[in-house]
Amino acid sequence: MQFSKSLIIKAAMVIFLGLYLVWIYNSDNAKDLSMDQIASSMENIATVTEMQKRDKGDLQRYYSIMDTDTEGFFFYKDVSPMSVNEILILKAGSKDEASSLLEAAESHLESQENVFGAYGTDQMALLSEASVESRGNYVWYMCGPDAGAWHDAFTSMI
Amino acid sequence: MVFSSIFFIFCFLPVFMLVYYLVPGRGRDIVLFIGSLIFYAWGEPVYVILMLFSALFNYYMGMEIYDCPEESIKINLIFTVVVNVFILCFFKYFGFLLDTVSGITGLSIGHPELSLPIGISFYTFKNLSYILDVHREKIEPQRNFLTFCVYSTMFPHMAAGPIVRYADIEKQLARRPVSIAKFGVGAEYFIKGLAKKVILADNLAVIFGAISSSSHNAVLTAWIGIFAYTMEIYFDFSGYSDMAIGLGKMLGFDFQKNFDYPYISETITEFWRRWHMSLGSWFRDYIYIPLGGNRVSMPKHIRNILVVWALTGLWHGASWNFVLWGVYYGLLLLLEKFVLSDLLQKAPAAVRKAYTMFAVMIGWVFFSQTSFGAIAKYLGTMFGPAASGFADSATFYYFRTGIVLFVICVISCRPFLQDRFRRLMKRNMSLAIAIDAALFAVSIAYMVYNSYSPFLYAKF
Repeated sequence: MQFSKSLIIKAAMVIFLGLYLVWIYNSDNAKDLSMDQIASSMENIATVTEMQKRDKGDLQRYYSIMDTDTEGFFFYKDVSPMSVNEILILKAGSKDEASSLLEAAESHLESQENVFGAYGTDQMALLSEASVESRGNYVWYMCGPDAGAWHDAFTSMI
Repeated sequence: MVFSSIFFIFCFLPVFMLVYYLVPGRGRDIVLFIGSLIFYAWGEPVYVILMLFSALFNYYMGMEIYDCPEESIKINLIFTVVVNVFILCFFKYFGFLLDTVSGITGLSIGHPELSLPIGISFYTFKNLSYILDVHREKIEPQRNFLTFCVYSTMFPHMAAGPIVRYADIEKQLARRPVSIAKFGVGAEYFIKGLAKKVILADNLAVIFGAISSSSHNAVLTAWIGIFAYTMEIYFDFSGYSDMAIGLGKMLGFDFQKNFDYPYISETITEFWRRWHMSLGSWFRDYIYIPLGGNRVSMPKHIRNILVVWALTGLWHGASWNFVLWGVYYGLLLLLEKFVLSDLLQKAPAAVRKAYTMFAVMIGWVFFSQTSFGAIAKYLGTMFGPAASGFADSATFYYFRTGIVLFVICVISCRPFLQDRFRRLMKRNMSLAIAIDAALFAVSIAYMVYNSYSPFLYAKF
């Protein structure tokens, strides 16, 4: 009796672990794509390349993120300082790093809302629809009239 | 949540400590457990379930291994170890394994990228040490689930160690008096660790990041870069360990130190007695000695050392550069043991120290560069063939901008400053506290400026 009770508990724990891992595997994952693959695909979208490609200096300037703290990034931002259109895709080394990068992206959104809150009705409308999300080790910030299309293009890729 | 964040220091920690100190007796276990869950769930709520499962599984199996009939002990032990190792491998080595198979066979096996749960390597090893110690009857199993959860999920050393063993804190789990004096010592450890991380390590990271991302470097620039990384990884990781030890003291615990000034070592053997001591002793006690240690024939002894060091490398990350880094140290230790021991004993201390630092810096090249190509290129730059010259304007720029930081680092990685500070604390406590307060203020200023700064070892 003692033996079977112990066996049932162990079997239950193994089954629970199996179900949990299947759930994790199917819910919170993303394909392991290189940033070059992501860039070549996203750069096929005209509304992305209409903006200016940004470098690691801009990443630090706008998001306070060092490029060395990421596995790679894809960053386009409109040249006009009055525009809120931008797309940033970050690849983190781990989920922990991704969550910290997500915090940085959320801070950027908050800062943009503070800047345009007083007078930029159009900008605020776009910022309220901005996509700031994370999946697997990817984090993204997408804001602009076509942010929905960028979002769909990227998420279908990963 | 990371220790070096404004939210942790000014919101989570004060509220948590206030509640912890207000709640009497064993109620503190509940506060610590809930606090640890909140700390962990802040970044990744879904993995709290995994951490709790690991705690529940090892809690149950600890009792099972201890209580079951003699003939079932071995099978229960194997089952427990296999499940723990499987969980670790599933999250950490799944993609690595498939990539390796793809590389060898030429097949293109795609796989989703699973995110790595924070601290999975640390809490898996911690739980395994508990199970193995129960099996060896070194400890009795913990029969109170809450107490075991406090041990298994405790937030101070959850993300990046040290790997605290149950045997070391068994009595403290039952009773751990807190006092203002101990809280003060803990706060001092925490501030010291915070300063190491945000004042030293984060600024060194900027220098190394700039140099390593440049496609062409001069010889001296590459050496400045790897020196910066050598210091960065020490101050980053030992900073985290100091913060964890400090938080432990504030909660009434005494964790073993994890670093003992490794860069003053005179041999690689000594270096590994001083660097990440909790991991080194884990591999020694649970892998090296069970394999036979040095009480076997020479070929088996060599095999044991290489196996342990390959595993040590692999523990750090699912990438071949870490395996190479581990094997490199295994070979160096063999060399010291069988070839260089007499020579090193006769050499002056300065030569021994120079040799050790040279070997350690080369080791950090393997560690910091994630592909064999990048390792070859960086080493090629350090030794000339791939360099753009011996020195150029960038060399002088990095030297000029980094020299003050480098000097501070060289002084800080020796016991000198800490010894002076301890003496000052006895002679003039007010001044010592003022220095701590100033360090804290400067650290906060850096944290406000640099909003994002993860710990290097948290990714392992």
